Amino acid sequence: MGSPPAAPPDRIEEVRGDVTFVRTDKNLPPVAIIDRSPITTRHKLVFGAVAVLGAVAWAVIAFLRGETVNAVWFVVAAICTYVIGFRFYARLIEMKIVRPRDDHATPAEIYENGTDYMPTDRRVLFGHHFAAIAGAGPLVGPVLATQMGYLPGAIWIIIGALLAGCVQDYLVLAISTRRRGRSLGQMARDELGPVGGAAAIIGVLIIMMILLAVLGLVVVNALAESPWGVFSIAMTIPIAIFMGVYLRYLRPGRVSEVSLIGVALLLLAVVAGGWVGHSEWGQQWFTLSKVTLSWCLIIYGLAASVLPVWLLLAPRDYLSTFMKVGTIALLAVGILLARPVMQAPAISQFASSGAGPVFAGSLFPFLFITIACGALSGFHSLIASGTTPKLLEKESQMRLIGYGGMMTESFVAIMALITASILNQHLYFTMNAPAAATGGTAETAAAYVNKLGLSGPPITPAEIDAAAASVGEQSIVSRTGGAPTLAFGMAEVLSVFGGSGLKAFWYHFAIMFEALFILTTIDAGTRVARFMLSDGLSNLGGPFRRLHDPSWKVGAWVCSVIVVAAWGSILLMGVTDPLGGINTLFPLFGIANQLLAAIALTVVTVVVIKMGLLKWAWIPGIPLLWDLIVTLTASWQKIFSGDPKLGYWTQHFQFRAAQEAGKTSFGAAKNPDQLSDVIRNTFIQGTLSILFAVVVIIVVASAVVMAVRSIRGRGRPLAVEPPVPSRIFGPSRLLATPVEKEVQQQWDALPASAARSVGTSAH
Amino acid sequence: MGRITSLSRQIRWYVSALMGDNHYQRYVTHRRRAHPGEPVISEAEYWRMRHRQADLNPGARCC
Repeated sequence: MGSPPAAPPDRIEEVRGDVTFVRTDKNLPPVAIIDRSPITTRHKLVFGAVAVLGAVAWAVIAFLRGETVNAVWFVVAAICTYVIGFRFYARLIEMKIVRPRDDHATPAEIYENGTDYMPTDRRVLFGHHFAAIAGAGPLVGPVLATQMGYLPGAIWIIIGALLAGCVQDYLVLAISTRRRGRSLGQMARDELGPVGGAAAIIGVLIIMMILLAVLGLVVVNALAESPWGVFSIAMTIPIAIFMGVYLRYLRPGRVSEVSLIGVALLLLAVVAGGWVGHSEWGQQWFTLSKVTLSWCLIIYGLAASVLPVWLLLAPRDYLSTFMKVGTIALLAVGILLARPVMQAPAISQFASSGAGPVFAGSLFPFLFITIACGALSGFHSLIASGTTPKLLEKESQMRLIGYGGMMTESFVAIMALITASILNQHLYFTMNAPAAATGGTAETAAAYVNKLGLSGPPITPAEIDAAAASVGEQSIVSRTGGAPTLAFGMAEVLSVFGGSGLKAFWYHFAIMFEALFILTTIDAGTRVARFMLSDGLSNLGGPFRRLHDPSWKVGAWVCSVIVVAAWGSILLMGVTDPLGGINTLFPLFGIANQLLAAIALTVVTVVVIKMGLLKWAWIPGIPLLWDLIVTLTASWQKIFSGDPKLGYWTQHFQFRAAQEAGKTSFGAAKNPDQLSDVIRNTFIQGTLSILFAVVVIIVVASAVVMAVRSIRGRGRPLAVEPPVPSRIFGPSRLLATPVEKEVQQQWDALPASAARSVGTSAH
Repeated sequence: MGRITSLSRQIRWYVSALMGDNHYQRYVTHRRRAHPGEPVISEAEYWRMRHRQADLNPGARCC
């Protein structure tokens, strides 16, 4: 990217028609193919047909009124749009900004060590990258955003991914690859200078705390008072430990084998959860309150952070990868087979009124904040820098992995949106409105949702109870957090496999699948944050320098406790919040994630400008600008809004005034303790909002300084590493072209001793 | 029949590459090529080394 066209001494080009073959060693087959063939008529026709089909699907989704829209149209619209975006927009970015050089070695090739640096087959790396970026976020966010109707969510998830999320992932992967796989924090320091870099690293750390806390809150809300769920999730821990021991002592390296055993045990745990949950002793043991569950989660996070990786983290990760890929594929097939129709309106009344019970605020900016990961996720930049470049075989494969990986995640978000939109709307709000609104019982909840003015016939308390019983739960009133709603919708969809008798099984299967994701994120996240903290502290020097050694047990414990205390206290704050934790904390989660994306896009935009590509800086610049407008508006409203439902500080001062006036209850706070809870919580939430906004403003300000200097020709030089000639080959597309196959055959024909990637190719 | 066998072989290759079954084999090939003649650690040793590295350098998972 922008690096001077380094010509290694024996770079040999051979031109055959529109195709140029590049060799870096005259005794080896070509390492790069530059294909300038024009688009064929057949391809033109195919892409034309895809575009027309996509346009028809979008028209059906957007303009069909008064009739029900089938979910399949969403799948068609999404896939057609992805195809066009990947073929044309991603290609434009590739040609104008990334300019991949396959004759240059990637970090994986340069530092190849057979363990963490390893050129990996593009299809396998796609799976790795997807498993690392996909989590609970794209599942939960769209479910909550359904409050505003399906249309705004669907548009943002698909278009936002193509123009923002995929661009961020692709470009971060590209700049990190050109910098020997450096992390986002390091790149921020290199490209933005020490102040911007430090702000970025502190920002990442605080943002991670809020992410972990809110994900914890989602799990706790899904499992509280559900003995079935608690039992099956609790069983994942002994299952993981069994897998860890099996892999270490019985059969090292048999990962698929042990994962299959693990998945079988997991399914057994879900089935057994049904028996346990309906037995008297099971209900006694496994019916846990939200506070107890939070403490369990906190202890679990601490244990996972200090226990050896092989015992808990690694096997959990295998299970999680297996379940992730498997369940998402199952859901896609289920939607196509069941072909459910939408119950949600295209755009609901809450989009403009901003008074929705699930989360406060109007469509702009809170829809974008809530969907978060499904369209643009700052967290991906931590994977795309650092982790994936160490496994990348060829620079030209970055489009498939970076851009394509995010497209797949966006598709997961669309499926989550479909799953929430096919639910009865009265039921949707029964599950997602906070207990302060629904009153917590079927009677009060029915009375509450019937007053909301939703479409469809009103719901009766008996119907709510029947819905809960159909999935084997005591109650589904105010099961906020998105996970139970998604599980409910998935149970409806997946009932095509095995009929409605299996609905309770599928519901708990879905809960387990989400909880597994989230626990994997929490344990890995706690560990990563612990390392970031000790690394950051060790830079302070003095007695902290010892923290630089990660095997120092005392330091590891202290840092783990600090990290767990940070997210654990926010989690406890959320579960005891009288106002309902999700609707106050989820916006903070979304803002945090989108601000991380702003940091990543800022670094990318500065690099593009420094490369002298000011003309193309709009490609990362537009999503950056949009993201900054959205997040800073949302932060502004959360800090300064006079509406107590929206502004943390207005709420804080109202409740404080009530306390000072000697009132013992006010609004949702029913007693003096709850009153002081609200005062404390709103103070913390308000402070965090300010902190996030300030950190990002510092990062962006230092970026603007760098960009202006660079445009005036006085900037810091780009921190790219000098290129090293590559000595391996790999096709760049998902399906190799005939020319690529031909070159691959030449490589395969070489004796194994010659310089070639051991890769993971099928051959 | 031939097509089914080759498809199932492809799937098995993909799953084992994704999950890590063939990582040790990859490592052995790499060592033989990069450091010929040197002894190569056993599979159990290899995984211990991998996990030790993961202990010291954790990878993030997304939300």
